[in-house]
Amino acid sequence: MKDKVLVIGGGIAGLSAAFYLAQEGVNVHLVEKNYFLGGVAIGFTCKATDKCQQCGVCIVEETLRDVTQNPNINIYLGTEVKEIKKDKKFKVKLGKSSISYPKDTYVRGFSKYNHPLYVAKDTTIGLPKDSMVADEIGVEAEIFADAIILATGFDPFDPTLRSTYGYKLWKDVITGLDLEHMLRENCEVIRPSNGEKAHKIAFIQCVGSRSKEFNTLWCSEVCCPYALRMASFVKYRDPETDIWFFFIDLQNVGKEYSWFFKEIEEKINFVNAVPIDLVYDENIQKVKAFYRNDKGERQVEEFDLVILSIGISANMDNQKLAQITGLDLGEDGFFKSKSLLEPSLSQREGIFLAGTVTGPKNIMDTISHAKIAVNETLTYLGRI
Amino acid sequence: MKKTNLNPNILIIGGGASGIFSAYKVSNYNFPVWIIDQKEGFNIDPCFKEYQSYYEKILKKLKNTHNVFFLENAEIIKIKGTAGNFKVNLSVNGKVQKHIFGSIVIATPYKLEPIFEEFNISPSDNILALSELEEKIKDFEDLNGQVFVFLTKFEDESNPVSFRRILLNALELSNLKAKVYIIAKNVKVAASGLEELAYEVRKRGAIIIKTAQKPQVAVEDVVKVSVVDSVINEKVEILANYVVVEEEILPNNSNQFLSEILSLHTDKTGFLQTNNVRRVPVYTNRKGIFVAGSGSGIKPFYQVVMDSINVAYEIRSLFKDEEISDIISVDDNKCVCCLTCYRVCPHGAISWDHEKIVISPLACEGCGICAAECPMNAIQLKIYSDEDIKSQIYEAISSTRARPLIIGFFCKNSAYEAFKGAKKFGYDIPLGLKPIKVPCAGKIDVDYILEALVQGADGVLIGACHNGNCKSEKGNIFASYRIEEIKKFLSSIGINPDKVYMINVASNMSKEFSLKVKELKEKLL
Repeated sequence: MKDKVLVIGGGIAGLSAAFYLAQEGVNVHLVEKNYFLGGVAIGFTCKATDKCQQCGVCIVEETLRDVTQNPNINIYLGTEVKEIKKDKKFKVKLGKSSISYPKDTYVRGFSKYNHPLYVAKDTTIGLPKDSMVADEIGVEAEIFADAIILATGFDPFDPTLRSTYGYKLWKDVITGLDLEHMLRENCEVIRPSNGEKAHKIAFIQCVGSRSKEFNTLWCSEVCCPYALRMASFVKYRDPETDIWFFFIDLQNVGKEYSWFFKEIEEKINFVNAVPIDLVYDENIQKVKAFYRNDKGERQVEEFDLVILSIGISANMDNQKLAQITGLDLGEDGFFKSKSLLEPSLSQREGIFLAGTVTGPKNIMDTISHAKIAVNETLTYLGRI
Repeated sequence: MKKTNLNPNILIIGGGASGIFSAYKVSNYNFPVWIIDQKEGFNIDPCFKEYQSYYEKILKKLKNTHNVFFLENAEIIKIKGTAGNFKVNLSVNGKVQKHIFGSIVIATPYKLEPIFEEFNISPSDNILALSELEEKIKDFEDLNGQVFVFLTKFEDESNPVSFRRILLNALELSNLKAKVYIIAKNVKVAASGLEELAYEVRKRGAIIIKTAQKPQVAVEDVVKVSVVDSVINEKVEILANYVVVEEEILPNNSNQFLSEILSLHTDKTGFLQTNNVRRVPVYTNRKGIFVAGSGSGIKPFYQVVMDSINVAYEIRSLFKDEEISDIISVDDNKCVCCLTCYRVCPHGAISWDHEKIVISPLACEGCGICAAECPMNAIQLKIYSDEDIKSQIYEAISSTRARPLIIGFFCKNSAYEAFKGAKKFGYDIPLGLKPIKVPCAGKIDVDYILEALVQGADGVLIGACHNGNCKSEKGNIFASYRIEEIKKFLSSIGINPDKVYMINVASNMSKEFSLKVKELKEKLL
């Protein structure tokens, strides 16, 4: 009998784990609560200028392709793990996902066999052939697994908590994630308020990171890299764009940071402060950012578009998942690995951890962590 | 083809944290492991001192493990061969030893250099490198308000590994009642647990001064550090009992030599892994040669641990008993042994034996750069042969009525996927665009492009990965050179050179792909 492994979560960690397991001839049940695969990373844009900026987004897409084409991987979309019991094997109860989308929205992704997947309640928007709709997705079943990899990822910080920035209130205040989606879909920077091109934009760092107040006392590690890469990308595409970058401490981007930084240093207006308030001024139709400069003076700057660099928060389902898996959470809300030298082992035998479920990681570290989880799973199964 | 004659011995270069943990993980899978280090004795890299007890525990375990060999005072003299069979000459305590290894792990320890020069100061009794402080700190007792100033890298900036070390020392000094200042341009907290540590350090009374201007150090009777605090925008002068400078983390000196003898590409800093996501986590440009932790870049300890497990994973995969497909062949009747292929192969897979070219099927990645560059057309990939691609060109041209007729040669890793995505999501793709999949843009032969034009294509579109994202490092660059040449040639014979067009596009950028193709279509109309 072939070994079966349950991978919970179909983001980059889960996809990588599923793929590497399948390559070793293991049967994989890949369970994803959303209606599409790829997690948060699937909406990211390529940020290459005249050269690749090493964000790793393309690898997510490729792993997705590999997973959807692999016969050893059984994909359950719109499905959640409801219960896990351990006898000799893990007995796992699956149920339909509790996620629902508002009627008029749709999410685009890929389903099994790489068919385009439009998750829509309302199918009148004219979907392509062979696409699937949300109501048809979701499985109730009981399955058995010899091991489990928990790869449920993170939640992007909810910027509405930082209420003085007026996210959702002001249309031209968006998140880094929104900008990723926008660049991927339109290849240019648009003001959501009027659909026109944004000429003057601001990035605000550390929204929901490094904060005792929001109980996120960690650097999310990914925001400086993604924001700086996007800033550099936007500037490359349209050198006329006036870009401001508000930060507390700039974190290094990738391997050759000093070269990277020298290239953008003069092109972007760096301000070592973060705005206190953002207000949309109807009269001039600009977002006003209020901040203090390095002389302590109050400053106001007007922007077409402001991008909030939101960080990595623990997945809101972690509490529930901890109960289901019988694992403990750390104070920060992430799952804890067994020891420093065993970064993908959990406190329970047979359950392994992969990706941002243990804390902030960039794409490449997430893949690296997932590979380790696969290695440890294979060892546990006695296959190596 | 079966994998045969793979030598199971594994060579680990470097006995620091990265080497020892990799050796441990690899030896768990019963490979004989040889760990060499240039120095006498095995020690953890000073920047990871915090983890010394782990290191010693693992080292002790390894020393008691059957089939694990330690060679001190060992230098590499020469390495020849490919994955599965590397012939290595070592000098151990001045004597030459010859070994054969199936795989090599490069885990050369970091070189640490105190940055006295950056602040125009020289070491003295109270101007210390971080390592010296760590030695001294053991003897410190109540420091009773003595002032310590940490200076971090300013010009090229610091990193989370150095910062962690500084924060830990600051914490210890604060606990001994010292007054501690850390001066930094940016506080580098982008690693697990660092923000919390910085918070703790501040709570104990240490002050982190942020400044945009380089601090000045004056050494007179006392050491005076002047700095403009950019938060309060005031000049601060600190009379310091001790000034402690960061130690810059650099690649090991031997990396350059290893890069030369092994044809390994380095990053700009000199670590033995290029700045290319395709190499993450532990790959080099050569199969069977892996890089771990301190060999590949500045990494926090948990990444060093992750690398060591990944190295074990990759070595196990390399030695897995499985068929390897025969992907490439050399026609000895055509080959004149000019060694062009040997020179262009980015994966070091090509060698020669008695005037015959040998391509190691295990080391070959199938990019086809050699096949495209071979002046005698002596090298053929099994799939993607010249014949195969040319017949695809004929087929596409004869079966397409739509105009403009564009033949696309698309790298399977990027443009081909973007094309597929664009079709799937219904983005605008000209009807006359006919894609031909190639393993790498480096496989696109000048002949293919000319053939397509000769056969009646209105344009040729070459779709490659972005620079720095090519799995074969330079495939897209080879393609761009060739296109430049073709454009010159077309101009010289009076044909519009814009008929040949190259784009760099990522696999996930279908919309962008569609926009770029539209641009070409309009040019051709």
